[in-house]
Amino acid sequence: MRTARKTVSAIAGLAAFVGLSFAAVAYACTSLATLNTSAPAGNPGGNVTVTGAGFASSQAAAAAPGAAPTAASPVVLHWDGVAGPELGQVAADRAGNISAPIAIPQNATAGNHVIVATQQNAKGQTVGGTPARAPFQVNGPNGQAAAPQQPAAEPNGVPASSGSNGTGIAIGALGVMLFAGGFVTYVVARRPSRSAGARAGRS
Amino acid sequence: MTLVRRSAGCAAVALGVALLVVGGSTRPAAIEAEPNRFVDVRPGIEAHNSPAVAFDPSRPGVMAVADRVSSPRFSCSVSLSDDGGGSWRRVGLDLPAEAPNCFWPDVAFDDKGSLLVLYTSTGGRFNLPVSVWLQRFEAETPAGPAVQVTGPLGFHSSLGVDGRRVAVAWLQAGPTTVDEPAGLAPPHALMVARSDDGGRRFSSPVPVSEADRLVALPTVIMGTDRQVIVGALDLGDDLLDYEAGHDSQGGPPDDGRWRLVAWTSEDEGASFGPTSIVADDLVIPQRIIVNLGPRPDFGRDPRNGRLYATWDAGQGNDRDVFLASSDDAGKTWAPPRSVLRRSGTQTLPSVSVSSDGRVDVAFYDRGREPEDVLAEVVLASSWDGGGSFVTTTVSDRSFDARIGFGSAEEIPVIASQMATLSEPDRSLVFWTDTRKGTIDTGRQDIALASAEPRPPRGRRAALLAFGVLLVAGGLLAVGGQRRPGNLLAL
Repeated sequence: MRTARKTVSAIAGLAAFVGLSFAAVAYACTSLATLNTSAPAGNPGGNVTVTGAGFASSQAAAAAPGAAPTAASPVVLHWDGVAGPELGQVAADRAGNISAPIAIPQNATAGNHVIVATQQNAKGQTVGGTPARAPFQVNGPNGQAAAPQQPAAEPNGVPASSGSNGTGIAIGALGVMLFAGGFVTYVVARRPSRSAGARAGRS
Repeated sequence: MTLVRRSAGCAAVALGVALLVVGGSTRPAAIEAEPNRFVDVRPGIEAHNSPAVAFDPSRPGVMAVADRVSSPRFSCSVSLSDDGGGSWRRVGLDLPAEAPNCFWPDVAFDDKGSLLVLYTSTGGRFNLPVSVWLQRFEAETPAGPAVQVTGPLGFHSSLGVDGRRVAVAWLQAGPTTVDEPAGLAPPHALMVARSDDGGRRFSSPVPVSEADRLVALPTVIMGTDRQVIVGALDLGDDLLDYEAGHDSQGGPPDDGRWRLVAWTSEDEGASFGPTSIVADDLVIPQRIIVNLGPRPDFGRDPRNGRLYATWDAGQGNDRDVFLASSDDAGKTWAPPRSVLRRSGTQTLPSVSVSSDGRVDVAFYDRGREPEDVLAEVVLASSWDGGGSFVTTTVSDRSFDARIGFGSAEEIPVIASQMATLSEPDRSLVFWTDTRKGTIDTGRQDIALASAEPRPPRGRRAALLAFGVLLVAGGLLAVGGQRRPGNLLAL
C-alpha cells in the first residue's frame, strides 16, 4: 500500500514537473529577438515587409495608478546598423511580435545589407536579446542580384605579435662553432706541413 | 700511409667538432603558428561561436567542429575535415520533429570513427531548452534517428566518449525557472546519463551535484577504467548572475566569489562521489548571461590519466587564466597556477593534452590593447605538466571582442568556449573570430590556427662525449706523424 502510494506520488510529481517544464516554454530564459523580411532582395526604393518576434511588448501592462510605465518603447528599424538611417518604428504586440512595411532607401547601393531592429525598455535600457538583424540584398541597376559579397569589410586590427623562437640564434651559434672547428682543423693540418718543409730545407 | 692517417685524423677531428657543436647546442622551447584559416565561411550575418572539436582516432587527419549560432536566430552548424583542418564541408543535421532547432552542439568520435553530435533544441518565445539530442553519423550519413537524452530544461549539455562508452552531462533546471526573466532557479542539479552502446540507448539520469549548489556549465571527461569525471563552474552565492537579477544588463559584477568544482564516478557514471574543489575564492570577472556563460574547460593526459582544469578569474588587468591538475581522477587538485603573467584581460581558456603529454592552453588575450577591446588568441604549451609555459599569438589579426550576443546591453558574450586539439607535432586552436563582422552585423566565424610547438632541447651528453673522443683521437692521429705519442708537441 505504501509502495503504491509512493508510486502514485512519484508519477504525479513527474507529471507536474513535465507540465511545468513545458509551460516554461512560454516564459523567459534567454531571449533573442528575431527579424525576417518578406523577400530576401529588392530594388532601391522598393517596399518590403519586416516581421519579427521576441521583442518586449510595447503595450502597457495593467499598472497601479501613478506607477511607472511598464511598456517598452516601439521597435525602431534601421538600415545597415544600430545607428543607421531609421526606416520606421513599429509597436510590438503583447506577444512581442512586430510587422511593418518599410521602404528600401533610394540611395542604397547594390549588394548585401542588414536591417537592424532596436528597442528600449521602460527604464530606457536596451531590451535583452536585441538588436535583431536580418540580411537584405539590394539588386543592381537592372534589377539583377548583386554579386555575392561579405556584408562588412574586415575592420582594422592590430597585427599579431610574432612568436619568439631561437632558430636564428641557433643557426648563428652553429655557424660560429663550425668556423671555430674548421679553424682548429686547419691549424692542426698546417703544422705538420711546415715541419715537413723545415725538415726538407735542413737536409 | 702517413697521408692516409693524417686524412683520417683530420676527418675525425672535423666530425668530432661537429658532434660537439650539435651535442652542446641548446634550443629553447618555441611555437610557430601558421596563417589563420576559417571553418566553412559563407556570406551572411550569422554569428558562429563557441566551437567544440574532436578528431577521429581511427582516421588520421579527420576532425569535426561544431559551433553555436546565436544570431540572427539560435541554431548550429557541424563541419568535417579530412585533411587535418585544411578544408571543411558542412554536415547536414536532420532535426527530429520534436526539436525546433539545434543549439550549442558538442562533438566526439567513437573508436570506430562514428561521429556523435550532441545538441540542445530550444523553443518558445524565449528559447528555453526543449530537449537534448544525440545524433550518430557513419560516413557522414545519419545512423538512425537522433536519440533524445533529456527532457525539458536541460541546459549546457556536454558529451564525453571513450570507445563505445558515452556520457552526457547537463544542468537540469527546476520548473521554477519559469519565474526567472533570464536565469535559473532551484531546485537544480547537474545530471549524467550514460550509454555503453555508442549512444544508441541511455541509462536513467543520475544526479551529480547537490540540489542547493549553484552550478552550471558542466564538462564531462571519460577517465581511465570505469571513471567518469564532471567538472563545472560553481557560482557560490552569485544570484545576480544565476537568477539573472541584472536582467541581462551590464554593470559591476557580484561581490561574491566563484569556485571550480568536480565530481568523480568510479562506476561508469552510475553514481558520483562528493564534490571536490578545484579552485576556490575566484574573483568574479564580469556579469554573465548564465545560459551563455563561460564554460571552464577540462582535459586529460592520455598517458597517465592526469586531469587538467582551466578557467579565468579576476577583474581588469588582474583577469588571468589559470590551470590546475589532478592525479587522482579529480578527487583532489594541486594548487592552480597562472598560465600567463601579463597585464590585461585573458579569458575563456581551453586545454588539451597531446598523446606525448604536452599540455596546450589557448585563450583570448586583450592585454596588448589599452582599450581592452581588441582580442588576440594566445597558445601556451607546456612540456612539464603545466609547470612552465611557452606562449605565442596564433591569431594573425586582432578582432573586436565586443561583437557578440549582449553587446548592446553591455554584457557582451563573444563566446562561451574555444577549443584546442593537441597532436604530438602540432596544436590546432579554434576560436570565435569577429574580423569579418561589425557591431552592426554581429557576424562571427570560427577561425583556426595550426601551430608547431617545439620542445626545449638541452645538451646531449652522449654526443658530447663521443665528439671529445673523436677530436682527441683525430688530433693524436694527425700529431702522431711528427712526434708519436706526444700530443702536446703539436
